Amino acid sequence: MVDAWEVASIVAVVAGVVGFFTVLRGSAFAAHALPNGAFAGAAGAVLIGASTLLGLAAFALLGALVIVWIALAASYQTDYPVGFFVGSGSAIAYAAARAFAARRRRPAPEAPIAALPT
Amino acid sequence: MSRSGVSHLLSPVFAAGFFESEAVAIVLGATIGLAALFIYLGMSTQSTTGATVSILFGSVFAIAASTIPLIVLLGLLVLAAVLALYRPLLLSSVSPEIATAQGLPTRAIGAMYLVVVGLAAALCAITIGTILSTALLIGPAATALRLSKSPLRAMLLASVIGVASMWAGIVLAYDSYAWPPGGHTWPASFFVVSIVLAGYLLAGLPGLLSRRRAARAGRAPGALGVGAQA
Repeated sequence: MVDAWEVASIVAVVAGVVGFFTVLRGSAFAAHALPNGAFAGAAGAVLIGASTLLGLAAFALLGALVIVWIALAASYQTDYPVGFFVGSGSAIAYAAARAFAARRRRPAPEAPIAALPT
Repeated sequence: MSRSGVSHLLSPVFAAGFFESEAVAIVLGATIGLAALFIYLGMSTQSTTGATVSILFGSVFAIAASTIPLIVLLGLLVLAAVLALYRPLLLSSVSPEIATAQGLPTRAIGAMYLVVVGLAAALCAITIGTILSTALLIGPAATALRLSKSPLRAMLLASVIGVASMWAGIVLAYDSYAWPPGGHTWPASFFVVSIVLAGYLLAGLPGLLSRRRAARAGRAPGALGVGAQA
């Protein structure tokens, strides 16, 4: 109970401060997508027996970086759609292949896709 | 949509909504697909269905005391980052054009802001769940911005509203042990999100009433009401 109060208070203060900028920038979609994307991290953490919070934080960070990467790559390339889909597709394939490889400890069937040029 | 998205991304000055678009949607889809995979693997090797529900909808009572230091550390990290970014972030959020004209690296600021949102989102997710963490991030801040337009006051107000909603939600969840069906508490997340929504609607009431009054008085409705964006 005391733990719940502590955590709730800290998180609510952080959410208020960050949420202010989220509302101001109108980036509610990113604020919605990042925690939902981080769900994969939590599920993965449960799977390998790691801390759920670490899984959430790692995937939320990763999600943010990939969004930045895709957006920047897309805006600087003249051939927008190709760079966009190859970039994001290989990132997904790489992540999936790594996850599989870590789990199964043998080459994943998705591995060749990760070798595509970005 | 796609065309406007492209021009949106290509526009050098449009920093505020820069990372809002296909990129976010693509990452969201990909990671949820990954979640499906992990849950499938988890279910076929161990019974993690309970864990799935508690991650999705939060389990504030089940947070281990051992994770509190990490939560405090991440929270302080986020607050320190916001403090360090405060002025450029505020300017590039309010007016990306002016920020760009002043030579601020609006894209880099946007990128750093997104990382900060990621950490904050993870903190919200561990408390009230990944699905409902949006409500905690957006709700109190949107309510605060309906009540005050001063940045610092709105931020403070958002934090106070968030903390109050959380505390009230936890108390209600604690009390709900005696409610039907009995023997179990209702999810704290449900109460927190309901309180946040109620607060948001209540905060819009003054603006709504003043616009009604203005409309009745014959002036143009909804001119600059507090809740105009709603």
